[in-house]
Amino acid sequence: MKISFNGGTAYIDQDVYLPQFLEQKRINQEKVVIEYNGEIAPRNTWPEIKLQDDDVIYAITFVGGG
Amino acid sequence: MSEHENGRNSFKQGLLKHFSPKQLEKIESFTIGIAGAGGLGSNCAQNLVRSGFKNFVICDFDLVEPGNLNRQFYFQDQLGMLKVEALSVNLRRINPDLEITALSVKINSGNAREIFAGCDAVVEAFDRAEAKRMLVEAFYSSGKFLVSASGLAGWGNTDAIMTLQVHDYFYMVGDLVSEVGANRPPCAPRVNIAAAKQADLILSLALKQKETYSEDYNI
Repeated sequence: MKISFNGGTAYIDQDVYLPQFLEQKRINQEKVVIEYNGEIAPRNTWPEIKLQDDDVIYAITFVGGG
Repeated sequence: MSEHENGRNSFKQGLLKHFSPKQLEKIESFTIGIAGAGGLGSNCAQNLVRSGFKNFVICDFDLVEPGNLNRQFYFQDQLGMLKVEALSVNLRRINPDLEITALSVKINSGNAREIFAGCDAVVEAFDRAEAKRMLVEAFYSSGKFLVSASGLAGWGNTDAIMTLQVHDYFYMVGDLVSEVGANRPPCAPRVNIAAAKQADLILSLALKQKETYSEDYNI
């Protein structure tokens, strides 16, 4: 299955949910905002998001300092 | 008696040497929310006040500490003061006619939208990555103009501190990777550059029609 991730292409297995995918990408889930198909995905919905072919995901990761 | 006590604001007179009355009217009509009054927030606010903005909601629960003075817009005689109080004093030294709502409150996902409900634009100026994430999540789809910052620690390579348009109303400033750590402290030059870029995005927004704004940043 093929999805768009941060502007590039990612190939994933069937039946992968968003938190699982982020884990595979080694993304710290406490420091990231996820845009899923053009909309912000509230984190309480992540476990229900099963990735589909042609999904578009942007992970906006923050680092500390200010 | 100062010029201000005489009923004249010489700062405003000075602004009108650089902006037309119509431009200044646009700027003055904006209300800016500042989430965090540390290195980013205090310096961004200073830039915004010098640009003519008058209406602010500034929120931070910290006190001014010695470790802040390397980069934040505070002074030694303000140590121990609430940052929001010290910042209000310092900003009013630039322009005495400011409307500042100074809130010593910890912002969380439950109160963020309410605190900044009356604002046209919000500056994310937190220190911790988790707090930055929380605020961006709270405002991402709100239709409110939001400027966040991420990746400004250390020194050198200041051209890497860029402006990234994520969508029409959400911009990020920073190099996105330079995190504060033991060998990478937050220092005045890079923090100020990021804060100034945040302020410039808001100034650009105020002086333009929103629908044409994104043409400047085709990223």
